[in-house]
Amino acid sequence: MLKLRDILTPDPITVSPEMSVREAMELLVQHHVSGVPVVSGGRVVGVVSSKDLLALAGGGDTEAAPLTERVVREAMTESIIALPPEADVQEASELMERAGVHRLLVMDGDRLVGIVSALDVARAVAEHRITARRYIFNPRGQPDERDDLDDQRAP
Amino acid sequence: MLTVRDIMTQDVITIPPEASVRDAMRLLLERGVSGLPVVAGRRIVGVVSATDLLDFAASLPDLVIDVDAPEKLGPAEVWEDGAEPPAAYFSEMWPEASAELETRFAATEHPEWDVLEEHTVAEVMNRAVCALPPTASVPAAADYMRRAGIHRILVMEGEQLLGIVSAKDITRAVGERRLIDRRPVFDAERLFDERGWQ
Repeated sequence: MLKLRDILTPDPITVSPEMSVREAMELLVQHHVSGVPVVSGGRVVGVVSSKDLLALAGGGDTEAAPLTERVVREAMTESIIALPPEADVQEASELMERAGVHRLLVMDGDRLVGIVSALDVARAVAEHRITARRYIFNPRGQPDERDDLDDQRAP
Repeated sequence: MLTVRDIMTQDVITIPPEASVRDAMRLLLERGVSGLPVVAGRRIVGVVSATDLLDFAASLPDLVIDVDAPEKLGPAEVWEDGAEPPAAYFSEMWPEASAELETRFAATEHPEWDVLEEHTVAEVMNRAVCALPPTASVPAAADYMRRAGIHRILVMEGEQLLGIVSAKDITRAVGERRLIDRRPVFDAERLFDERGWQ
């Protein structure tokens, strides 16, 4: 079973809740990432995504201060979706789908170990590292056409 | 073999190139998607992503000219109305931008001063369109994403847009255990060829 520790990006870029929204935007674009953990005093306090920042920038709030004066804390999501490094990639994918998120934090207790994004999962698929194995009991035939065996799964 | 047709999103939300940057932001956020194909008439002319829009928004107050990217500083190209915008169009505009943009960006109560309304999707979109036929396998699509460093691929049959497949769609298929590695159990030779003895 492929584990999160096998596909995670270690030491992810993080931002502080006091960083300006503009700086955070530049950081995301520069590093080609769509979201980063927000860390304060060594503790993860939230996650901020490109969409969170866009929502704030494009909100059309006429009273709003310029983006250099607005901070990440205003845009971030405080709920953290995390799994331990030994979690199975297929289960993690299920969680991402259920929670409607593109990335999970990988945490060992309170410690941020890494981040896993949908693109990391796609990368593992590209490398043929994720497949639910099914065994076809028809070695000499053409297994791909035996749809009647679709639900047969090895124990 | 699971194909992109099996996992793609069929109802693709598209945007015209003349739509404003603010419209694109609104559409992305409202519809919960991270990228939009840009369609002029019936033709795909580009793709605009959340990152493209963020890049635009982040560049507004004071453009920092990247000296490592000399192509950004090339000679200005002429964009005639109706013609496809040259790639350098967007980046050429901003060296002249003044600090007052910061104020203009914040002052959205005057539409004539709203830079997000003034600029169009054509200026910020990515004109390189990554597409695959519906019969491509999911691992092949994932490999394309990995090599191109992109999150979504258009699914096209000739000129026709059938759907869009994103890294998120691949994650969903993984979560649903739809990526099946079928293997004959009695064919030891094939197992050896694929994986080696373990």
